[in-house]
Amino acid sequence: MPESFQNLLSAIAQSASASATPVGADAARRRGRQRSVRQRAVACVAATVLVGGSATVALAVAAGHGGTPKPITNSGTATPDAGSAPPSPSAGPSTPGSPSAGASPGAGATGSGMIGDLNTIVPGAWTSAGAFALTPGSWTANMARPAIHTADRQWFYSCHSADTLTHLGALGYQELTYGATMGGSPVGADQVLFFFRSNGAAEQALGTVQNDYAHCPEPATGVNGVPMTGTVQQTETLDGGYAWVHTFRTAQGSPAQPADIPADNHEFFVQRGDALEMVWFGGNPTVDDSRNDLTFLADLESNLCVYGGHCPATTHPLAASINATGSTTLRLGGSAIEFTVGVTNESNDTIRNITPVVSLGRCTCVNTPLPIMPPGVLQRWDSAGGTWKTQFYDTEGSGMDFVLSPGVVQVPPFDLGPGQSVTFRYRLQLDPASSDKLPAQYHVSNGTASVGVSLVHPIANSANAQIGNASAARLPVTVVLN
Amino acid sequence: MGDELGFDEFYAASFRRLVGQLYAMTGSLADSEDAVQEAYARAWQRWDKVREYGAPEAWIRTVAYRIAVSAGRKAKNRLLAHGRHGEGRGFSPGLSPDHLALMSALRRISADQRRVIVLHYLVGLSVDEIADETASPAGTVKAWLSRGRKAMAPYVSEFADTAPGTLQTKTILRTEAGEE
Repeated sequence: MPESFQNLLSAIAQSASASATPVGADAARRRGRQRSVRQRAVACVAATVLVGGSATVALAVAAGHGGTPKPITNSGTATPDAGSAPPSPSAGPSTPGSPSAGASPGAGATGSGMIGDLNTIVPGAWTSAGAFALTPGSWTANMARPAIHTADRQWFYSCHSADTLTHLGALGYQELTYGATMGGSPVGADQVLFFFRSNGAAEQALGTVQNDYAHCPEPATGVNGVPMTGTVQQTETLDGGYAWVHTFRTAQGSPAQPADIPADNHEFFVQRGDALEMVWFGGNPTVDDSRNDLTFLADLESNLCVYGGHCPATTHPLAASINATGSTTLRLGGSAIEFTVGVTNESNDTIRNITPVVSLGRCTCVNTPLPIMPPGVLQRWDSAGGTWKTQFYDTEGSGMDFVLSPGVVQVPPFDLGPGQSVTFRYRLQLDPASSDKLPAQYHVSNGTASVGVSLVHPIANSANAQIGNASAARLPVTVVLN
Repeated sequence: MGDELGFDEFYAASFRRLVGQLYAMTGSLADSEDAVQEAYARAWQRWDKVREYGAPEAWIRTVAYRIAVSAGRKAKNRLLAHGRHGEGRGFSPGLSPDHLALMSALRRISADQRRVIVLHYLVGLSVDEIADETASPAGTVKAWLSRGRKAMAPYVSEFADTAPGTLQTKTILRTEAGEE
């Protein structure tokens, strides 16, 4: 046996061992429990695994990423400036939790324009765990303070083989990780700030991310060999920020087992100045809930804008309207009332995958325990076909199912460019035999009701995501008997 | 799942060593750290069985290697990054020119050849033990070892007798030092 070769190899391994940073057995156990609960495929790899000869290994002898603006330690990890206040482990960085907390630039303002520095932790740039979307208030930071890294890795959905720093041209990143329990299962989150050489480079990186999410093909088979379908759905956008839900499902609709990424991922990207922020939630379908995406994007942007750029308005850039074109009196068996529904994009960004949901509000005209609008017919004018098309008669009850239920999509989703508007024409008629269709003890009488419109992002195989609270409108109507 | 103490002791005793071994196989400290940490997480899921194998370190090494060389994955590092909680990492073991030359030489051979050479010369496993760990026939292991030595012969003098015409006098040809 060549002793010298063995000694050299041993020295290399020992050098690497000395440089290694054990994360800890506790972290491994926690991670193992997460995997167990999620029932992810951790292919039962015992010592009998056959490793394919075609595996590729990237050998990089000196992996330090060039171009870091300040000297870093030889481990590639820099220490935050001593003057930076360490964030609280339980609440994330010591930064205001939301734009309304008063410490962030006001809505519509411009950030301070501080030049982002990879090696300087700015607590105010971080959004606290308390503001995390989907939150039951239980997110806990796993780390005492953000860590700074220059070692490359693949952080997000991409069709490119290069790891993220190389792919985006980033200098490095700051990172905080979080854990929580939702729906009885552990979930995880990462808040990552990538830093670039210039504002332009950061903007370009965000464009690359957008392009990747829009166009990259999904893997078609899970690690367990089961075919799956991956879906990337943009659920919200706000002033240059984007939210996506990224899911993998089997043909039966159950969570699939993609390689090293959960079946459910909810991701946010915002860019301000020379910083690009990614927040990722993953673990189980709970994290797919998109109802708070707009608020969360506003939180992220309002904090990250310490590095410059626009601090977003908190009002929603999409506006919905509903207006009668004639009488608003609905007579049982009488003629239909007509109204229009308008959707306007008041932002400077294209907003994708929008659809209005027209619903029938509760009516004082019935004595049923839940005063649901009497039966009728809702139709939308199809200008292309020159006909009225019957729509799903979407009655409001006791919850939000009328707008969020999967499949409640009356109009094919569309995109709206900056400043663009679209108008739809509807008519509504009540069934003349409405009372007859109710149980004997109930009946229809004169009363009042309304027709509402809500804007949503439909999500394949999932609940619709409502677009903010302001993007709804309502038309009062009167119901009268013959 | 019990025996946290035993798992902790095993982790503390073996983590750095396994990262070093993985680094020799993969050339990436970051990937090695991530892969080894992930392998421990998977070991904990079935710790009772892994412990019963009698060779948990070999189990971790095998799983970590498989993780490290799994190519073509999307967002492959995301969960691993999350799992490691970001506390300090990086890469620059401070390699000498000889070390760099050896790593460069290792980079020139196939992943299988590199793996068995590391298992043989660094971990000290016999051909039969390597065959068990890699689930490969002993003959295949021997072939990988032989071909790996031959491929590295131009850069490693000890292997010169496997490659006709090489006359190196140093273990590592310094002319290769610093090559990427």
